[in-house]
Parts: sequence; structure tokens; C-alpha cells
Amino acid sequence: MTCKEANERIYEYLDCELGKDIYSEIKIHLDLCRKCCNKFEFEQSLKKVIRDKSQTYKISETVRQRIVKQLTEVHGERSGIKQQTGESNGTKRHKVIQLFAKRPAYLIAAAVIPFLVSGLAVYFAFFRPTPPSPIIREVAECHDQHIHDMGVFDFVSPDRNGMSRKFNELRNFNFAVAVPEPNEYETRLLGCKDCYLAGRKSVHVELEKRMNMRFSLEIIDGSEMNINNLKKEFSGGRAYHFGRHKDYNVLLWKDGNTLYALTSEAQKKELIHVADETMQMRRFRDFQPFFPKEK
Amino acid sequence: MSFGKADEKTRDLEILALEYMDALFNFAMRMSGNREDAEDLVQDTYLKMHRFLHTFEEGSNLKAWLFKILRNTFINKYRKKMREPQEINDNNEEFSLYDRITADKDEYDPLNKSSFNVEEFLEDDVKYALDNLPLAFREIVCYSDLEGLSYEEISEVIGCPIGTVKSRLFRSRRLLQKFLWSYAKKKGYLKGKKGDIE
Ligand SMILES: [Zn+2]
Ligand SMILES: [Zn+2]
Repeated sequence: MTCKEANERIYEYLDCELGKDIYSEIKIHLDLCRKCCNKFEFEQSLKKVIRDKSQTYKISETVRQRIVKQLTEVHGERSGIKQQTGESNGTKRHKVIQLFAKRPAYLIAAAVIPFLVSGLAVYFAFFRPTPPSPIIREVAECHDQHIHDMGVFDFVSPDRNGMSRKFNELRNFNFAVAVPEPNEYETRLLGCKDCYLAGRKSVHVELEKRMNMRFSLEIIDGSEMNINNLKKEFSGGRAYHFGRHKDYNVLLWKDGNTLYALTSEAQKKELIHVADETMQMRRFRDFQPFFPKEK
Repeated sequence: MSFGKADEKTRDLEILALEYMDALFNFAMRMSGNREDAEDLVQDTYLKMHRFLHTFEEGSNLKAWLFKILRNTFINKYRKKMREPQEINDNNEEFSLYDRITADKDEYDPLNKSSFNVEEFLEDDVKYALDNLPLAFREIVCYSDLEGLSYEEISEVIGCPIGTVKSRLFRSRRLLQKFLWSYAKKKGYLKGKKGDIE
């Protein structure tokens, strides 16, 4: 084991996240290498300092009691129901009649359930929505992650050119990132970050509409993904493919070799609107994605 | 009717869950920054727990599950605050507190009184450094260093693969060390180094 290899796993080692074999390999290295040993010891004591010198806040006794009491109360309601239904003691038939008498709703339920079941059977046989395709699922999961990511971006800017530059900087190749230019009144750019989608590096751009709706735009350059088997709709001369997963609507379209995926809780109509808006801007402006030409 | 037994089981789980109240409150304090919000968050967490306990799979990790509920409650409640995007501008720049401290010495020697020792950091320094971390970074340091959650548990709480947990934890610690370094400089912990760097 080299110093470099040991150092790459320093946190996994200190966090006790390594398997037995690799752990002892590193331990042997530390016994032999003073330099690494010092560094590991330093990091370990820092970890300890952070834990020991972090003030621990204690919940007040009043609030604790309140929470415990609340939980007991909700349980009380439940066991009340239990007692009522558990009371009857007679013959089996007697019990059934008693049950219906006590709870007329059960009688209605008994009458309605057969219809419900057959209705469901028909639904599953003929009208059941087809499960989302893998790409739709993946895009939706990605969006879900982004909105639960506490607003962290690699770059925060309302400026699309700044974003394009940022991505040219981040990657050492010419990746034409067509960051959309939204209509500032309705939609604005929040920020962007590196992402992975369908096994490829993607650019994640986040937009916000009317202060409460967030849109993830995922851009993959050079994607050979076939999206033609998805449902589609035309708008502004462009074919938008769509699907739904996890309460999110997903809109996919291609522009040359670039795949765009727009996801949000918003209605499909609204998604198409945002997509149209952003793509139109791109068409009018004769977009120069990287290394701007000198005039 | 097995109702009674099932209810007993949930009751047991809830009693166990109450054990984590201080840990949850501590975390809520670090994320929200004030007592009132933290108390509300913990209360909401327990009520949600009660409501969704039937979805809890037996044998899975109760502590991680509770942290997940608290985290989601926090995100939903403070969406507005969360919407202000935060930029993590570390540009993947290398930084190590150890390397800085040992930069002009041949070797770090914790017993050598003339070199800086991490023990010299005060409670306040650690608090400020933690509080200055962006939320997504602060939470992960809290899970790992303060709450002692494993990578797997963290991945469950934040819903990210373990690889993401590792890299985010790495970036968080690097940023935390950067902050600590600047406090150490400001406060003159580094003997003979005050003010002469950067
Ligand atoms: Zn070494
Ligand atoms: Zn993404």
C-alpha cells in the first residue's frame, strides 16, 4: 500500500467503514509510515474535537412531556375502537348481525364491495396505465433528488451565459450546454450543477416558476437514447415526449444530438409552455454555446 | 383479532423512538437555528411517525427512519428558505488543515508545544464553523460526526447512493477545515503566524 492509497481512504478508515482486509492493510501502513500516521492521528483528533466541542442541545422537559402526552392520546383513541369491536360474545351468527347493527356502514360496504372489486378488475384488465419507461423513471428520480437537495448548486446565477461558461470550465471538453433563457417575469434560473443521468454526465439546470414551482432541466449531450416509443405531443413545431412517475410530469425532447428532460410537479401543459419558452429564445438568439466568437 | 398485538408492537416501537428525542432535537437545532422551530420539528416528526409507523419495515433502522422524517419535515416546512440557492464554491480545490499547519514544519508533532494543537479550538469556533456550512453540508457532518450514523444510514436518510455520501462528506469536511483554519488565523492560535498568511 502506498501513502496515496492510504490517504484516499482516510475518512473511510476513521469512520470505520472499511472491510477487515483493507482496514488491516492500512493499519500496517500506518505502523510503518510516520508521515501518514501523523496525518491520520490529526484527522482523528479533529473529528473528536468537532464532536466533543459541539454544544448539545436538550429539549425542554415541557415539550418532551407534551409530545409523550400527544402520542398517548392518539393511542387512546385507537384502543377505544378496539374495545368496541372486541366486545360481542355470542354465537358466530350473532356476532355478525351485531356488527352490522352497530355499524350500518359495514352493511353498505358489504353491498358495494363486489361492484368495486369487479370495477377494479375491469380497470386493471383494460385501463391500467402502462408503467413508466426506465428513462421517465430515472429522470423523475433525479428531479426528486434535486428538490430534496437543500438548494445546493455548483453555480448560482440567473445568467445563462455564466452557466455555460461554468460548464466549459468544469469539463475539459467542448460540451455545448444550451442553457435556456427563461422569461424573467414568469420563470427564472436558479442555478446549475453536475449530474449523472442514464449512465451519462448531464448538466442540471434548475428553474423556478412563480416563486413556488421548481423545474429540473437535465441536458445530456450526445445521447443515443431512443425516446420515440413514448407518448408524444406537438407544440411549436417540436415533438415533446412525456411520461409520469412519482407525481412528477416528465417532458423529453431532442435537439440534434442533445437530449433535454424537463421535470416538475406542474401539469404537462405548463411544462410544454416552459419548454417552448426556453427553446424559442434559443432559436432566435443564434445560440453560441462555447468559446464565443469575436466580433 | 390480532389488532391488540399489532397495537402493542407499534406502542413498543414508539417508546423506543422516544429515546431519540434528544438526538433529533439537537439535529433540528443545528438545521433551524432556533429553539421554537426545532421543537415544532421534533413534535411534527413524532406525529408523522405515529401516522406512518405501519409503513415502517420491521428490522430496518429506526433512528435513520426518524431522521429521514425530520429531514423531510424540515425541507417541506422551510421550502421558502431552501429556495434561496446556495452555491458550493469550493471548485474542488484541495485543502487540508493538517497540510496548512505543517506547511513550514518538517513534521507535525502533537506533543510539541510550539505547534498548533486542534484541542485549542473552542466550542465557539466549532459552532461557527458548523453554522457557516451550507445546509446540505452541515447536515452530513452532523449525521456522521455528531450522531455517528454510518454511511449506509446516511444514504438512507438523504436518499442518495453511498458514493454520493462519501464525496459530500469529503467536501463538507474540507470546507469545515477551511473555516477552522481561518478562525485559527484570526484568533492567533497559530503561533507566530497571525496575519502573515493570505
Ligand atoms: Zn504513508
Ligand atoms: Zn439531475
